[in-house]
Amino acid sequence: MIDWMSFVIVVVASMIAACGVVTLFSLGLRLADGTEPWRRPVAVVLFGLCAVAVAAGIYLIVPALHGG
Amino acid sequence: MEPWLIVALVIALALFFDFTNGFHDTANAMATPIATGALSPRVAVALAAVLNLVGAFLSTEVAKTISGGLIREGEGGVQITPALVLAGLIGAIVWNLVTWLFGLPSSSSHALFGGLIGATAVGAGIGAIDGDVFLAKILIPAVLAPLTAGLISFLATRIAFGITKKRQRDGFKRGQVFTSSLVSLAHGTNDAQKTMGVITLTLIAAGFQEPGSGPEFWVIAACAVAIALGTYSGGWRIIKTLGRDITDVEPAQGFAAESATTATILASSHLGFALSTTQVASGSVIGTGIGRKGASVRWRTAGRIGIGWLITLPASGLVAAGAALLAATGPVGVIADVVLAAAAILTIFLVSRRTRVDHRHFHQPEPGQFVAPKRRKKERVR
Repeated sequence: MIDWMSFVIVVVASMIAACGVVTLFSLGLRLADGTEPWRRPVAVVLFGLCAVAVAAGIYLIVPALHGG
Repeated sequence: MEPWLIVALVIALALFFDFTNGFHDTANAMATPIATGALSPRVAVALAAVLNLVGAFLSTEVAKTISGGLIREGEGGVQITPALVLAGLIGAIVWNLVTWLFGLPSSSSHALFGGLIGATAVGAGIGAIDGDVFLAKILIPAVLAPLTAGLISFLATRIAFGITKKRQRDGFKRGQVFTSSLVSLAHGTNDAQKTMGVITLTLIAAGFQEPGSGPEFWVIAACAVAIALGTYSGGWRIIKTLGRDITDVEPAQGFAAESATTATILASSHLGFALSTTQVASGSVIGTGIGRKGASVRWRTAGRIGIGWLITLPASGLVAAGAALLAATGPVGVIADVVLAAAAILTIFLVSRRTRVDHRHFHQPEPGQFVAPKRRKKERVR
């Protein structure tokens, strides 16, 4: 009746996605704040990865993109 | 009664339900960015409205059953007549407005299901309702949704506060704009579809449209506009509850909570375990309140919200059952239903005027500003 397996998958998937994005964004903020020259490019890469996550979200939301 | 008249009434009420659905759910996406000052209240609701409008046009697949399988519809089951749909919509609308008056974020889908269940129970007997589906689709998810989102939001909040230093946390406001936009877009694609489904299935049932055909363009456009207008009008009472009353939200918490909400909603809608957006969003806010050291969750408010969820379905069901009983008496009953519903809507609106809550209630030190540029400029001049 209750599909517990799909519930567990939903929990795990959303946990990985949410915590992943928050980790990337937080690290980006942390690294953007500093004087060493290497910090800024790394922060930009991290924010870029967050942008990829947003794009993935849009892909999932818009039915025309994922063919459903 | 002329079939076109009742169909017209159903369409009007369905669009009004869509409107209440919009303003009831603005809070899911926009309560936390408004609370943290990531977006000014007006900009937030405008953004949410546009994204809901766009989302409604993007949704392609419209529900195949009005009740989402809760009622045994179609062949071998009950025929849900336009009069029953009308009664169900009245129940859903009235309950949505009552919960709005009390500032409770309750699920609009549950209100709609409750209304349809109540109306069907009167029209076709309680046996027409699928108890197993009710348990699996409504009751258990209602417990799991806030728990899941709360846990994820709690962890995400811990991560955000663990990694960043205090002075860096204003940057989360920028991220909030994106996460809350995603929630709004997802809402538009999901929720406008429900009303389109109700209208289309009613048109088919009344013989105005070919069975099995999709929604007409004017139906899509009308639903999109109704939900966008509802969203723009902003359910400020619910925004206040979710953004202010449960816990005090800081930008890092807002970002963590919305990331949790977005991830949970997207995962649940794509991995086959449907969860209510409203319940997920509320759970996220509670979770982030537990996650920040020094923050407190007002459990009394959280408890009120929980009670609201429990009674949403039976309450809208009762109203709809009453409306269905009245509608069963004939055309006069249907007209009386609509008049009574209009009177109820007007009464709730008048009562709400006594204690106004609107965008002016959200004081933000610097509305719409990501950081504080003025202060920085001064520092540079020095």
